[in-house]
Amino acid sequence: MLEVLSPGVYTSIQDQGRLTYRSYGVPISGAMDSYAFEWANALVGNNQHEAAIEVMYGGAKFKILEDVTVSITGAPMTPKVDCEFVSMWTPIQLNKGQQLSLKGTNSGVITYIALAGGVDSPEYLGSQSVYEKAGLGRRLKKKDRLSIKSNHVLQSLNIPHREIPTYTNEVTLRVVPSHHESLFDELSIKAFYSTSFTVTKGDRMGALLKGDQAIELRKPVDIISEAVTFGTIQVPPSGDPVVLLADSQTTGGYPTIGSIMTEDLWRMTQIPPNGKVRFKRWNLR
Amino acid sequence: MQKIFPLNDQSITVSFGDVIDLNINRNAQQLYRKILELNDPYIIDVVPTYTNVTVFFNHKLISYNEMEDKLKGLIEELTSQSDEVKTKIIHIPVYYDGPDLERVAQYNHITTDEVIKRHVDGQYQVYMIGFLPGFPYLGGLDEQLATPRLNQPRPKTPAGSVGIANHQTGIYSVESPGGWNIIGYTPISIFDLEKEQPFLFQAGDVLKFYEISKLQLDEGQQPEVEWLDENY
Repeated sequence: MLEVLSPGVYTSIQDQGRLTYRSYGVPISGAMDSYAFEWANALVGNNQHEAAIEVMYGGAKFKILEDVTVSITGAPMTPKVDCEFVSMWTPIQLNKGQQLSLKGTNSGVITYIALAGGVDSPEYLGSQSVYEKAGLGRRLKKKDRLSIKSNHVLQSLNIPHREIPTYTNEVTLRVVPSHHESLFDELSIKAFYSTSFTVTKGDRMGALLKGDQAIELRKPVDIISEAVTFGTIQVPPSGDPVVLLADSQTTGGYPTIGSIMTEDLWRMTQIPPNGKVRFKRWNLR
Repeated sequence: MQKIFPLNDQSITVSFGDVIDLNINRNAQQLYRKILELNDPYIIDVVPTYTNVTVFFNHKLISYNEMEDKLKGLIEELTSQSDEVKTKIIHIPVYYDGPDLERVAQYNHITTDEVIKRHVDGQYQVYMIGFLPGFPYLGGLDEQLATPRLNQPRPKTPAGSVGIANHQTGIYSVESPGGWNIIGYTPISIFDLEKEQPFLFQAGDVLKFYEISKLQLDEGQQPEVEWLDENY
């Protein structure tokens, strides 16, 4: 069992998400960086559907109330147990009375803490992923207590060293073009795929981007609301693109320029404010 | 003619047109039901919208191209047969005392009583659910009630608020910031986690409003549901 001493900026329980309620307007939520999330579970022998603690922007601190094995993956938040630095991407044993703390980070944004046996928390619509806006759970607060869901764990895996990502503040991501692409000005499309964009602001709903020039339409159009997804890049009238992330709405009425390839999504979620992103046009066929 | 295109590498959209139209929406609804009937393990989720259907599939079980071929097959079947569908009509009680009732009346040069009468007289098609959990996008608003969004969105609009934004009317399912003109309130929960079926509406339903008093609002009400046979 763990007690939250400090929740940091935004810390919440997340699992693989609520994948079957989009037609009812419920965002999928779930772990933003599925790569680090899945490894966090694997390292302590959890099933992939177990929930973990997602720490966004750092600053979280926990007190260990019962001995537990955990793994910490994702952005390097220099974890410490009491005064000692501990390794990430490997299982670590925490003992009753110890304190686990995560700092902020200059590279990456999100870190996962998986507990062997999974984290116990209420399930809403088939998932433990927190989505506060609709009352589907809430972020962690000081004094919250987290228990382990089960004592049953599988064989834990080791991560090969080369599979541990370096969280750089400049990434290139593949984008599947949207059917709205032809609505955009040709020079804007060219600029979109040849210049870099700075992340100005981000949360679990989306990341706001700013480029050298605004991305413009050939002429103003009315878009009829249609399905969007985690990774869809919308362009509101300001011309500054917005990348929709795990907690985004299920439908949108802004023109979209494309959607980031699923495999590349986790890199997008780990770009900190002022980090840069470039896009590469990617045809599926 | 339908168009079929990727939303991303693990989802495909079929589009039946690019205007808001009852028949186009019915085509989308028909395909939506057909895909659900497949009940195939590689289909993760299906989302019907005004003019489209988007399928999210498990890429470990089916490739993009195979999924696309499947959908093309289903579209072929659509054109040759019509569905017999029961339409669900849901009657929603509203206490018409919203902060923007006067604004809607003034904008359209009619009285507030006329606003209420016209809103109650309408029959509204649920074209899709989106924006907030359970929030219905409704078609069929009287032209004389269309009113632009508020210049300054409210930081909080309570759940159950009934509003108008341009040519649309809708009900807030959860408390949310919003720029809709609020004309009244319903005591009905349209999203309730405590219920076995937490969502009151589904795309394809029809909605009608009726007026209630402040007392009835405070007492709480149940939605009334009736079924109509209809051939699409």
